[in-house]
Amino acid sequence: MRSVLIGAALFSLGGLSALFVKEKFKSILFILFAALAQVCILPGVIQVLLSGGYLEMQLSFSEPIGVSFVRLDPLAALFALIISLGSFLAAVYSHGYMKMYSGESAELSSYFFFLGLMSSSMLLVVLVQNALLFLIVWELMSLASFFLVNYEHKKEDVRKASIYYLVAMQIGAAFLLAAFGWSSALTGSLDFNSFQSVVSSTGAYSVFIFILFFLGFGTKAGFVPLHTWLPKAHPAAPTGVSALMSGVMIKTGIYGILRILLLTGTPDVRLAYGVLIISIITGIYGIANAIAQTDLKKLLAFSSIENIGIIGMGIGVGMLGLVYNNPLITSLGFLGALLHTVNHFIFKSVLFYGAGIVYSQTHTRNIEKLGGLNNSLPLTSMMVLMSSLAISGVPILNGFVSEFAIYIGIAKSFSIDSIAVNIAALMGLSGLALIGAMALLCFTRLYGICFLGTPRSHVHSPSEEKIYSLLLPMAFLVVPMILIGIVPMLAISLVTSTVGLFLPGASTIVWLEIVSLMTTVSTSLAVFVLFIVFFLAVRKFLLRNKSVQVFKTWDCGYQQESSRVQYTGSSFAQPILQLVAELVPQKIQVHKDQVLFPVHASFESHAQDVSERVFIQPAVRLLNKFLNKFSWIQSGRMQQYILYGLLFLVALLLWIWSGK
Amino acid sequence: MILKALLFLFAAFSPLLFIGFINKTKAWWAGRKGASVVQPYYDFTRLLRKGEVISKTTSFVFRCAPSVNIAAAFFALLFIPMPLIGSIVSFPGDVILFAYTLAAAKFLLVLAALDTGSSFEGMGASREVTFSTLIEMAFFIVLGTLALLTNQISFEAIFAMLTVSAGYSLLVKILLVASLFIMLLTEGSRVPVDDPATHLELTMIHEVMILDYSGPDLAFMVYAAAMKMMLIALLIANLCVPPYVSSITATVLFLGVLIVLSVAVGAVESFIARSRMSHVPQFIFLMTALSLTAFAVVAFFLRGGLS
Amino acid sequence: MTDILIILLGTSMLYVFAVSRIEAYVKTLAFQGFLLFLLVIIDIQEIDWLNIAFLSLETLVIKTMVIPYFLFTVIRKNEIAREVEPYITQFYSLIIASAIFIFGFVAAFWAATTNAGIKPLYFGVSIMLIVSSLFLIVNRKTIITHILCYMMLENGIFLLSLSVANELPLLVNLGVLLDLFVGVYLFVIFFNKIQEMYDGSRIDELTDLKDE
Repeated sequence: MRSVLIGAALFSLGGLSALFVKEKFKSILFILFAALAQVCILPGVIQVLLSGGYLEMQLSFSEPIGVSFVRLDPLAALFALIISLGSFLAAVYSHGYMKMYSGESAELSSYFFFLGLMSSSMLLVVLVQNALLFLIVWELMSLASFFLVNYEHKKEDVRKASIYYLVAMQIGAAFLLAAFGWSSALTGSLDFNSFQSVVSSTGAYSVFIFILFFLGFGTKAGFVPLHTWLPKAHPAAPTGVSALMSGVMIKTGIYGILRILLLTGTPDVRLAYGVLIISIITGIYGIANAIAQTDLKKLLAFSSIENIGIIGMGIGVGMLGLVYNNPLITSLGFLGALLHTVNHFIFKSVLFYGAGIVYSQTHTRNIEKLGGLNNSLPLTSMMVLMSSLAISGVPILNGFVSEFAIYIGIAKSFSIDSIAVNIAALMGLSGLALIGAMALLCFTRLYGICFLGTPRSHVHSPSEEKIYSLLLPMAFLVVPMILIGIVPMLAISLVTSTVGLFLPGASTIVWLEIVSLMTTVSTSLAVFVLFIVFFLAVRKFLLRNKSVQVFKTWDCGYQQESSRVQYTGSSFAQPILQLVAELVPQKIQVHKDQVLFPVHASFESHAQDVSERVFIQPAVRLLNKFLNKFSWIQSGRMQQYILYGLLFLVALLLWIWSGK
Repeated sequence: MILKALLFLFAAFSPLLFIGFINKTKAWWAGRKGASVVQPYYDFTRLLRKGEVISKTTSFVFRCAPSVNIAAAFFALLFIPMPLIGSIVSFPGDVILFAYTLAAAKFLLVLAALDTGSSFEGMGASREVTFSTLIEMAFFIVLGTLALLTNQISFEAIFAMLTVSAGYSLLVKILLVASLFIMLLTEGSRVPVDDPATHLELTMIHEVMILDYSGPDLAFMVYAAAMKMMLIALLIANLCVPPYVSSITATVLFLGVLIVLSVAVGAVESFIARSRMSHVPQFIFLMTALSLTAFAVVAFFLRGGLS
Repeated sequence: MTDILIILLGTSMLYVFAVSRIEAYVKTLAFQGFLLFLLVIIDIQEIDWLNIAFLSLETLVIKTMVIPYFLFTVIRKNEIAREVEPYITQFYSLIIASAIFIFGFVAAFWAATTNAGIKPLYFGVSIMLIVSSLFLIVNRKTIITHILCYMMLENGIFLLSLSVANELPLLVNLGVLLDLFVGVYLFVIFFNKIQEMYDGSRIDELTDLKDE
């Protein structure tokens, strides 16, 4: 346990040391510290995951924190694994990516400092078991990531995005504060284990407290409608940070929900339905918006929201299994959710890293301007293709395995004899299918428009792709993508003990069933691969002495070739967006000369985030109206503020004396 | 064992026959004699003998997509139960693998279409993914209905438990068959969703995505498309043929259903015109509606399995 | 003996209320420093010799001699002579000063009645020093006056620490020294930079910095 804590501290130390070295050594030094941290953390983590035990240590702080346990149980270990690896990969990636910002020595120092702080605090978040200490490290994580998002603070939209992010995080923290405060007041202690009596169904307010926790952690995770900060913050941050936030940081929200669920035991059935419904809505909303985006990173941010929805569906299914005391459904649901957490970390990181490479080479994130990058960035293109396939749930890659587990969990719940459950299961089944199909649309659009075809406009054409620090993290992640897809048992053996935490008693029979199922799936997938190889060989054989001419694309005899005739991203998405127009409203501006023979015309369409218009803006307007009445308090005069202090001091003294 | 392999091969090679029957029906309705039912086989082998012309804009995705498509189609055939041999592979959840394998094929097909950099193919790709979104959702509702009805999630196990009786279960079967028929028309790119006979802009969905393919690649694509139709037709046949009849009767009934289906598709193609593009989603939503109705009937009236 | 010194401290505060020449403020500051030095020496029996040396150095040398000298040079260089008209006129502010004085004695009385282990008169007068320096900051308009009253605030805090001298005075002293350092540092920077933008070291114009 001590080594894990040391590893966590090493990240911060690395960031701190980066302040003191010359600019070109900052990233290398940080990578060194991060690598050392891996050596400290990973052995303990793997040991806990494989053995199912836990490591614990007791720390004593002065009041009011008191005694705090730091425990590495299988749930914490799984998240610690992705946090640790993700931070290391982000460090490696930053080495190559931040070269774009060379010369800004002060800003680079702050970048690595806060990157180290963020990694350490994320690790501590999953380790501490004391409510107050948890809130402290949670805030630390939010603040560190705020400064990272605000890296390019000279641009106004980056500043606005980071402030929005900060406010959203504070709102989530407020919910958490309320939830922790209430629980702690009811039990009189700050330790997580003592909250068991409060959140389990015997507690009087357990439903409300769970909802507060869910709202707090859900803001960080990105459930609708608390997700509005995600599409703003992720594009504004530098790519290494976006990947870390999207792949790792939002999962700490999921961790929080799961930790509370562990304490809950058997949840209330309404909570299970609630989580399931919200997750379905989140998934559909996320992917529908992703389809409408033309900014590469905003698209990926919305796709993260969609995947959080899928993870939430897995959690909801697991909760239903707990309610109806069905260990198979419980294990499948949580297995799917946890596996998807890991899978999403893998493929979303690769996607973001690829987007960063595209941006650093072409200097644009607008997919309407890109195209044909397959020729200039072949390695990136291959890895992005695999991640796009994985995120759409294509078999042979890892995305399919987690979605498969969730599907089976939902399908098995049809055997529960309750009509509400059956309807919920149908919603889950069709919702997940819809999400999967829309993800297919979204990522064929992403990959097809950016990497295939021909360049749609004159962007800065990519010069050199072989920057290894940018490519290596992607390549490192592609390996488990394929491995988990074909041999899911590798990943499942890591997740076994975590899922086991949720099952009330030991249920090995259920586990054997799942294992045999997954083995059969993996054998079938091997057969699929064989078929593909067979037909590729047949094709080669058939063409062995035939002529294979290379000519231009069939153009119906049209002579004026242009890359602009290609379908753009918005055109590709237009049919489906027309169908879901209420979900993703488009703001369309058309300008045409109002004369008989117009010469100039322009068309612009922007996708808007509905939940902002419906939820956030009215709330903000109401709040503004109310708070403007108090604006006289801030007059700008320093003496007035000191007067406040003086009055407070006098009042305090009088209050103390009257009390005595 | 050998019987299984032979029957599987027969099923594997019959999709083109299915297409042949459809074309013959259409010709007959139009008053022509039409090509013979085995004409698609001649086309297929002719294509296999040819060379290829490949667009210079394309990449390896374009070259791999047809092989993956046909591999996926054959792989999906492994899960469909047929009389006398059941399904070659069966495990709980193979319905999911079935659907997602076909989705994988579609993914690469769409990418190959975008790869050419042609506006025609982009159009086809865009429409194809839109309609497949709706179809996927409805198909999973069908699967959910079947899972609720039989408590199984493997094709072989589901159809083994579906017995025919009057009343609600018959109603459910009819609704499901109707839904799957709509899916057949959509996935097979038949009227009213798409017109496989033309390459006009109005009807560009599937045909146009394979516009740039030639030679063996085109052969693979055509075969894969035919096989996809066949898979759905086999599902419909499974729904119609009860499991308790003897194997010989079952085989005869199966073939009969397949022929009836091909004639039906041909008839529909001859009678109905292709819908306006904005009306096609409504048509596909009909599948969702039908399958939801079937689910509702099962959930409210047929709880506790088949009567 | 200590009582007289403490009362003298309180009176010096009243004096600050009455005057408007800035050099008078600085002289009062030096006077307060000297008084504190005497207090430290007289209270010798409860603190060890290292502490004595440090405190004596601080009060005698820095508070009484160095800082006032430094401030004098700055004043002469920048030719600030008088304080401008405060918000509340001298007359009423003197009344308020008396009220604060009485308030301080109430505090001393309270401290005497409870067994808090603090020396009552120290406590009372230190409260009075703190509150009146805060009030002065609120009332006056020039930056240099603010800095000077801030240092008087530090004197009040120092006195408060002496009143609980059984505990750790070293820590309080470090803080006080640091605050002194910060105050002077800021003052110097402030004066050199702000002088260019704002004339006459008035503080009213700083409201321009306010948000929206």
